[in-house]
Amino acid sequence: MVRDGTTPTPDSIPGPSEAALQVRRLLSRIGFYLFIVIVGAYFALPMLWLVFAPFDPHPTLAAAVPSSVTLSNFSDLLKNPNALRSLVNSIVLAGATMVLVVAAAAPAAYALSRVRIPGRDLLLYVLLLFSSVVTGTAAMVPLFLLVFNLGLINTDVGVVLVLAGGLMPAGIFILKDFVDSMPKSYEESARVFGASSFQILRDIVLPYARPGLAVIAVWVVVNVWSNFLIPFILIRDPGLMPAAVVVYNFYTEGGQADLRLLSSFGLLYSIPVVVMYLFVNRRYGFRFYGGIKG
Amino acid sequence: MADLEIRGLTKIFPGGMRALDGLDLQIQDGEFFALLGPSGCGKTTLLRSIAGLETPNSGEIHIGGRDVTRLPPAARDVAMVFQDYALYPHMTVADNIAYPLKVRRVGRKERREAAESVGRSLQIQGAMLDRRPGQLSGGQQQRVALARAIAYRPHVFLFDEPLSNLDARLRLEARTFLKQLQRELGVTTVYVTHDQAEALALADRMAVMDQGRIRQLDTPSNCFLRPANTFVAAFIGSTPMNLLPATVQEGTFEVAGQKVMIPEAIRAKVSVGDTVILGVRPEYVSVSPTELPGSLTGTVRVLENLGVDSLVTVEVGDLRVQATVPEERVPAVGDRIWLAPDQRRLLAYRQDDGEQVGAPKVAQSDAPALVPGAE
Repeated sequence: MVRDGTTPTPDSIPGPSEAALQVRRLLSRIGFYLFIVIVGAYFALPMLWLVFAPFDPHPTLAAAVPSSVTLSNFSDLLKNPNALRSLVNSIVLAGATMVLVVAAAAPAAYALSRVRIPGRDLLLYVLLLFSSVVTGTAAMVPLFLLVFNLGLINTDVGVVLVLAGGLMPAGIFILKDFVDSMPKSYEESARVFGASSFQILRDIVLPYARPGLAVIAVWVVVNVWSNFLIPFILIRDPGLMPAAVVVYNFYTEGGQADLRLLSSFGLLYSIPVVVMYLFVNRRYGFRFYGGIKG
Repeated sequence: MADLEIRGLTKIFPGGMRALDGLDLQIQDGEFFALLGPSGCGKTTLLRSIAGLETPNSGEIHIGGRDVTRLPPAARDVAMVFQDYALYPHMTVADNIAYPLKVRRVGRKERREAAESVGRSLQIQGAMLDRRPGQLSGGQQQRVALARAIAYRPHVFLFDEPLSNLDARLRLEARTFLKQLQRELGVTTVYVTHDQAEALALADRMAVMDQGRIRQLDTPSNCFLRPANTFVAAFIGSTPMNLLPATVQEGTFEVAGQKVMIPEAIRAKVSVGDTVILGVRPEYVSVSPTELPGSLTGTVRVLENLGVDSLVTVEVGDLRVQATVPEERVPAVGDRIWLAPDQRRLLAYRQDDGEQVGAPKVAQSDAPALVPGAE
């Protein structure tokens, strides 16, 4: 606020009385909490639905405590031959992609962090930019043709390669930042003690970047787990389809969702990700650094 | 154990920065050698070149008679202690100490034994071996870094300001400890520091560096008592040396219109009419409230308490001269006092190149290590 030369003394400013100020403060508090409650409910209601609906004999789209609890939804779901198998398929796809991305991104990040080549940062940003195209709808047709010509249609390998290719640049980008934050003297002292580049990577850099590796691993798994488009395009055989695609089967021919199967499958679909998060968090601990240099 | 020889070492960084400029240096086997200089003088670059972390543009490095100039760090048998210690945060103290052995594929059990035995000699033992570096104090971390270097059993130790991250008191303890340790191990040591007191206290010999060159290569006491040039004179000493412009007259120097006797040792090296810079440490200027023969007189302007002594700044004409006086003889600000430089400690430098009078003139491009008239 810009004032002209004369600064008024506090008493000379006519202001609202003390009581009016208190009311205003109270109202703004109430407004704030109301806002929080609405936002919270917006995110919490689907979760509640996911917890209640699978056990409701007649679930609706509303989140309601079921009048009677039943497991019949799950037993019906298990009658569908693709349901459980698709979860296994998802785990295989996510696991394989995760291993591939971490194994390739770690040395790449180390090399890009330590080797000075002209245009390195440009290369990284361009890769990052195009990576979102690779797994996006824009590249759907060329991707299909590429995988078809490689003879990898209807295989896990095809899906893993495409997904890994799409996730790799962002993975390298995040990991590079972790490696960048490591003092150079760590490596230099190891070099003076005679360690080879591989030993330095294994003994010093990777353990140092372990929280970063955990972040990448979880991020890849979550991405693959929820990716619908790529396996939908590349996999024909229902027995190979991952959970994200199989969910699509629980619609009637008229396009009506079968809420009994959908909700119970949704619960099973979300459990592995939650378990993984808890495990990784306990084992490695997510530290929120990386990304942006302070 | 090994001696170290450096011949004509030049390092030019991309961008044209000349960090080392045709540097020659010989370090004896078992010697504690200090590289001293202001930041950017090239001392760390020299140390890193010896370690093999920098590749020199020209020149040679020999360790124990072996040319290691083109060898990777691993093949040089040197151990380096970094300023930040470079302890691996994910490894225990014992694993850190034994890491050089792990690199050499020594078995787990032997590594643990080595870590314990080296650790014991540096008071790193018991539960401390299984802690992580982050749980240790600065002094402990520093000892772990030393232990790791010792566990490597190198021919040469390279220290890059290893005490600079410690607080003042601990630094003194660590300094004494380090000197004793080096004596016991008898390993050739190159020690980089910007702290002149550290270099004086630790080194057998030292090199004072500036702009990629050695300005003086000598024992600490010679560097302190007989600095070869005004650069070294100004750099060494906890109180800066008085550097006073003077002109030579018959038997005397004229300083700010007053006369100081020319010491016997200098008399033959100067001729009447020369302009020189006189150097004398505040410690070697005696102060008197009454007139002394051949002394400077002036008014006390500033008094600084140094503990045992006080530093007196005296205005002599338009110059300022500093002297230390013991506590019982401290004058008051505004007093007129007489200052007599110790004739044996008075030095004279040439006005043009800052070297001692009588020293051979050297071309700037290939300045060799300058040894002052110690002999």
